[in-house]
Amino acid sequence: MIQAEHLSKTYVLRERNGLFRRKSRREVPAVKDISLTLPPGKIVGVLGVNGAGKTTTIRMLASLISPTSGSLTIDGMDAVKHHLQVKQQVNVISGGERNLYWRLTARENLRYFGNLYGLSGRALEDRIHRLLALVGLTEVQDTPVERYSKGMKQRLQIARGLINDPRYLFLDEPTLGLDILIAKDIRALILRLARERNKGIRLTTHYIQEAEELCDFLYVLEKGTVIAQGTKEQLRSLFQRPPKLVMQEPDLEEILMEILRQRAGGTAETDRAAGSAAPGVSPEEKTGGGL
Amino acid sequence: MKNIWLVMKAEIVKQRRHDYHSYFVWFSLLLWPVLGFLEVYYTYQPFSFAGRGGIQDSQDLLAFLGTGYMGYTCFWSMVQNAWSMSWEERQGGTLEMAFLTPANRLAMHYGKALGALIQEVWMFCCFCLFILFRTDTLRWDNLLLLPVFLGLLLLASTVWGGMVGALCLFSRDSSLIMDFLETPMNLFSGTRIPVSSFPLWARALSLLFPLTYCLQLIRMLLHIGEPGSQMLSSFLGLGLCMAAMIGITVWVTRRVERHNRETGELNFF
Repeated sequence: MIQAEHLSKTYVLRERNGLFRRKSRREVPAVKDISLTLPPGKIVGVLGVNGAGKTTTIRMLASLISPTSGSLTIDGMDAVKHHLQVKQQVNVISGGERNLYWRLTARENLRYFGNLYGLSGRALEDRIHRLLALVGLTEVQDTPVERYSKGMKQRLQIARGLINDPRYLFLDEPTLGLDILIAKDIRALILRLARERNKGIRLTTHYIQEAEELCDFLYVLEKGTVIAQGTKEQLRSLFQRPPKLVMQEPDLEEILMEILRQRAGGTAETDRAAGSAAPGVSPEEKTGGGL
Repeated sequence: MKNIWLVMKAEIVKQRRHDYHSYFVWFSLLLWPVLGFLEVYYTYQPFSFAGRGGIQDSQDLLAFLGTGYMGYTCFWSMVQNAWSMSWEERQGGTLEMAFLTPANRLAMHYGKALGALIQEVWMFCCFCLFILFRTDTLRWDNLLLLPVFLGLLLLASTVWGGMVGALCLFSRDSSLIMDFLETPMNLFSGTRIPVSSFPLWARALSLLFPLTYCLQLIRMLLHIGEPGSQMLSSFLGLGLCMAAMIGITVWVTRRVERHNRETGELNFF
């Protein structure tokens, strides 16, 4: 279990006041006195507006940055003092297209990061094979990442995040900028990782629906502090709002999903048969069902 | 130990696939050093050396410049590679991902250095070896010196590359290191001009560059120029320099990681 108690992080900014003047020093508290837990097999969500401290919290929990104060233990080990040892147990997956070598193929990327975790030989190759199948990139495993669509890069990030088989996974807006179908696939994968593989997952997202669908427990952050926490039911019961009976027309997302579903039904077979991701053709749809 | 080698191998393979992926890259890595070499050779050729710095004729000059440029290219490629990798990896976010792993940091630095060294300089080294054979500096009877001097160059350059790589992690503005090292290293370490021809102040400066000792040793091994040089003192100088560079690399690596964990700057670009 990850146990963070009274974590705070204050960044010190040095700002230039002119060419020949001394830089001024300004302290910016990013996270203030946060306590949270992450048990294995559970998905814990952190919600908040931009600048609420979500990413800083993730980076502290993943031992990428050190807290200014407070304690952090991972399976009983002091993660601040022994940050190199706990790195074997954690990994981070961020939304976006960075964090991969674009000139390398998916397989080469995973092999490189696997080697950094001390994996090699048949064990590593088997794991790469399984992960590529899990994220639906087997067919394009030898294509350079620069030719991938955004969704495929995101899936490769997920495979990279799982290469060391971490007990705890930190997901920082993993569906950022993805279309609804890919986002849905990735949400299903996250759920399976927690339920079937017993991974403790900490998820930050701006999408409330995503948090509602996935998270067992939620923390709400504002200006670096936790302003609310609890299960979905506990949060709902905070204001004792009576249930609302709403008559609603199907929203545009629903319509769009239906259109895509119908099209995918008609074309999926031929697309899968077509195979690899050729340049200029979005391979998204070809591998979309792989998850 | 197995993990250290694994990390180094991973860095070498990654560099080859990432940076040295086309014939044009290989060609440019050969062309520019050769042009630099020829420029200096034809600049010096009209002048008489009359034994200054142990150089008697144009054959000696070729051998002197051949070893000088070979050493300089090895050391300079380390600086270029450290800077470009640190910048590219910051921008791509892969630097932070590498530091998210428990991989041995020193192995990462030395792996990057060795990977770049082997791939950046092998073509130019072949050219220089051709020059050394052509000038009878390397012959069948002293061919056993070849692995000794190549090993020496490889080791010293890798240790140097590891240190520069660690220094480049301190800041995204580490291009300053390149500006600081390019001309001084070329001038003072005896790449193009024998150190014995320098005034005293310049000789003192030359002692700061590990390349100086490395070139002195290689030239002594191959009996090129620099009369009166002491093998033992150069060997001790290089040994001390390498020990200091390894010490600096260990210290800087720890400081960089602590600094980046405090500031979160590993992700900035």
